[in-house]
Amino acid sequence: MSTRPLREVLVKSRLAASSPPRARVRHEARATPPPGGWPCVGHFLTAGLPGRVRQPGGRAAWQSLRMDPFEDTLRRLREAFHMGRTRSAEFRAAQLRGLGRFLHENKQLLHDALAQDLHKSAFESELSEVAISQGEITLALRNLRAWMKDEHVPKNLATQLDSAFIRKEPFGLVLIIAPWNYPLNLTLVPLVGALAAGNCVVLKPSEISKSMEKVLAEVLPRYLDESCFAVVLGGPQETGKLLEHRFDYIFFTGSPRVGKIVMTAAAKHLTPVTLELGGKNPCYVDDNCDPQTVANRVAWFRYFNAGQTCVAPDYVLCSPEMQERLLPALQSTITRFYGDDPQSSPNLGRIINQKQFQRLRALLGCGHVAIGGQSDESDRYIAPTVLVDVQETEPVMQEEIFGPILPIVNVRSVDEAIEFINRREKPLALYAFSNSSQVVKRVLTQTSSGGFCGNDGFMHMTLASLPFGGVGASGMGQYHGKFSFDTFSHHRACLLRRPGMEKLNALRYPPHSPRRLRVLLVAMEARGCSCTLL
Amino acid sequence: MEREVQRVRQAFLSGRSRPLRFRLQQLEALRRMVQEREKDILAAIAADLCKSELNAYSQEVITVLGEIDFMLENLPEWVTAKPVKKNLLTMMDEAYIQPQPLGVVLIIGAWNYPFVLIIQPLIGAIAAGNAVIIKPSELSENTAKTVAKLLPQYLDQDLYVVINGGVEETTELLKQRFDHIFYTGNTAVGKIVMEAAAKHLTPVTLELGGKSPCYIDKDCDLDIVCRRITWGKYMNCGQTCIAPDYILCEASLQSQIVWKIKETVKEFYGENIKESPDYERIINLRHFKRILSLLEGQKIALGGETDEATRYIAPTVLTDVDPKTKVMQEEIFGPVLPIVPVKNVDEAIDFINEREKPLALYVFSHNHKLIKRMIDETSSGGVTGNDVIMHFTLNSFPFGGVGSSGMGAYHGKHSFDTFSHQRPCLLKSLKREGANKLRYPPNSQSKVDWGKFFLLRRFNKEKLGLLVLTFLGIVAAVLVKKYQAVLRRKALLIFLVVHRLRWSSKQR
Repeated sequence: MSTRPLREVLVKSRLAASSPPRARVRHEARATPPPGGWPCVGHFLTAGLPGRVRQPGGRAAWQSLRMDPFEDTLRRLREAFHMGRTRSAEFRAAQLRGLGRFLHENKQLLHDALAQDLHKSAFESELSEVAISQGEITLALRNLRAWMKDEHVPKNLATQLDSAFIRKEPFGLVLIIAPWNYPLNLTLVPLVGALAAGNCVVLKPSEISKSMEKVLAEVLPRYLDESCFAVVLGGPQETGKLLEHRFDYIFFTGSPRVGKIVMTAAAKHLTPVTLELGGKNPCYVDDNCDPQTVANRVAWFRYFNAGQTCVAPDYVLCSPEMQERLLPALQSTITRFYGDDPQSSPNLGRIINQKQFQRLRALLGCGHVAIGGQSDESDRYIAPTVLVDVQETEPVMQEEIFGPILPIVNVRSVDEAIEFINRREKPLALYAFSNSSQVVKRVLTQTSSGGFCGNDGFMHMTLASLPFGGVGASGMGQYHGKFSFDTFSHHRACLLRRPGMEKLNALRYPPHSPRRLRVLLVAMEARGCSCTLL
Repeated sequence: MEREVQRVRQAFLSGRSRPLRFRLQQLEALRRMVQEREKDILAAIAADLCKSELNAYSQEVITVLGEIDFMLENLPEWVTAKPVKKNLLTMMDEAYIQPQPLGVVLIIGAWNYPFVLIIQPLIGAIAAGNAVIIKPSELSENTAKTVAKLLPQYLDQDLYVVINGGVEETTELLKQRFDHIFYTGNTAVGKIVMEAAAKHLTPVTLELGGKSPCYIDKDCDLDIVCRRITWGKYMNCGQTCIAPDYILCEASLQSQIVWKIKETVKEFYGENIKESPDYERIINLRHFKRILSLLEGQKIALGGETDEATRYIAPTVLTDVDPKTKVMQEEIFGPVLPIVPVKNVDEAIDFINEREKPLALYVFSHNHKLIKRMIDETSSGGVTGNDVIMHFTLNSFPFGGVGSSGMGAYHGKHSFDTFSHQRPCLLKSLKREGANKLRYPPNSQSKVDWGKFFLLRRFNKEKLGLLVLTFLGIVAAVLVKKYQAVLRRKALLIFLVVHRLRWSSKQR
């Protein structure tokens, strides 16, 4: 996934600097959307005005670029955090319920925004965006108190009479930078974790998915406490400015290139980061499997959201024989899924913007087109495509594809596939298809990747009980469910000793003698025998 | 340098460091090293910090041995995959979290506890199956040399490499790509390390310092409080990252505290502190001068004697310290204890919150509520109530800072987790394609509803087991009810059969 630089939006935003006052936009946002989808005013009025800060509930703060536009907002949020507003379980639960209401009451609005930005079908929107976010909220609400509880830990003999626990403490002011490919899911899921952990949050939605940016900026703040939550808008330049400020945690989803920028900026303030980046996710298809089933599963995950999914299988590794069997199966799957003319199918998404479209269209020239290959610039449509005879050195095998293009690379054996995978950066996800569980397990143990799914696409993402995140070039840190809560919490070691019993402590004080040392050793090591002694 | 890192990476890629047996073997070898070469290690530490053998043993070696034993005991359990809860869609599949080594880890040590601060992270890195490059601090050169000499004699020479050198070498080293960097040291260098790491998207653990406050409530036994503080503050001549940096208390308590610390110092180190084997020296002249400069213009209530030739600074207490003076601006890292008077606990909390988040916080009070309040209303890496330093000794605790005192944590299981990638794994089968039809396009509303049902229902085996059990119970009840009459008729027969069986078994 990617937050790629958006000069075009910036240009637009300059134009929009003379647009009508904010109040009118808000008025329209409250009004029921006109038939035929959401107004295209959205494109104009919300396109990242330079350094504009949306103050939830209150008046929009209009500030020029010359002054630091973020300072006031950040100071306000930090003060609210220091007042301890966000700490109580009730407050956190109220915020989470607010998020739930936001999803519930604006369902149509969200679907429309997603349809406008990415041509997402209701099915895709509901499953991959709304339902997953809702699931996270429900899970967090159900477990909030359990997660927040102090965690008592085993003690050694020296601290046997004391109370030892790990306190889960909010970090403070958290910055969440969201991408455009799942503009709702990848914004709300980290947000749920940050709010559940009791942080104040600054949210920076992607300026590329304009309609969703508008909804998140206009509607979302109404459902949350305005003193502890703010949405800031802007392109790369504003984000750069924003990153100069000090945060207590930064959660970034996007490309490795921007990830490095974010981490470098974070280093200046020693801010911990979670980076959810992308990568080329390999998909190994063994000879021993049913090509039709594999084709169904691979095609579905590859062409979901028009391939703009960070965990989508990026390329297929298989033997030439398997390729022979796989190609007709893929062809029939694509026809079954999207009909004879995929462009008219309501179930196939579109490329987010021209820049991405041009990039993808250039990739179509690599290798040979076996299936698809058509594109339509006016619609930003690229047909579900399969490429064969692809060389490792071609651009399509050098960068994350992030579009509905599936190259097939031939390998002779599973060993060669493993070697091929290990030669590259660690991917965010890895897939292996085979009827033999030994082959799947072998690929699993001999490679590394953020996540692994055997015999299916990114289903491991749908389980909130599994952590989600990359490793190496595909990112650092993990989230989803309880892992989100832990990511946004500082785990503080707390030991409460008894004020008395000084005789026992005398052991450790100087002057030292060898005898004292021996007793001390016993006290520190004897962990297991505690129950027999007490 | 580059070749060296490449060599270690090749060794890691050979997969040698991964099997559990290998990791245990290496940890045992490390333990053997510490036990067999104890004398060498203690001598090196003594040469660097003028530390007595007993002190070095109790402060450094004990911790290392304890950590190794703990790892050996628990590692087999930690390396196994952890199954997780599943939803309806994945009910029939295998879902688990598999810890995996990250690759090549760089550990940069500090000079104040030159042995434990490199070996303890090393234990975690080995346990997690990584290859390691160790860069001991060049300031504690004797220990650095000893470790470089000893480690290759006991551990795998390709996987675990010690590189010695100064700033220049470290800079060069940081240009290389690692899979994790573990740094212990100060905040300024911490930023440099993280920035270098950002170039390769390398995750970092930064163990930094900070001014750890120590609040003394008036409701407490000052005798005990002062003994504990004296112990923690002057241990290793104040060169401890979690030592109490300054005291916050009501102005009226100051004189008593000074007097009691004075008594305790006499008790601990004798009349002539310089002669005491239990009292260390400052690491080098630069730090010695830095600490001296902190004393300028302060009211010295205790100590203050110094000797440049031996880099000796006596246990010192400053009273009525102005928060704006230099001694309150930087981490002291020496045997100087400033007391800053505050009016009450509220002011103390404000005072702490106005500053960077410290690595540790200490509160002394008989009043449990007050301690809880301090914990609730402040933030820090760790807290100990009514004592100092002790939270470090408990390896069930994560040890690490927050904010400017660092990020990430280690010790025990937390070390293992720090150096592992928790990889989510979901293994499905290629069968049951029918159920998947639901998610494939073309789509319909009913498909959406089914999808939601499957995704959002959380199920686990226990819950399902409970359902099945209930069902079986109902079936059993129905059966019993239905065949009640038969059962009654045959009751005598059944009784006799059972009796007979028991009797015959007894006979045997």
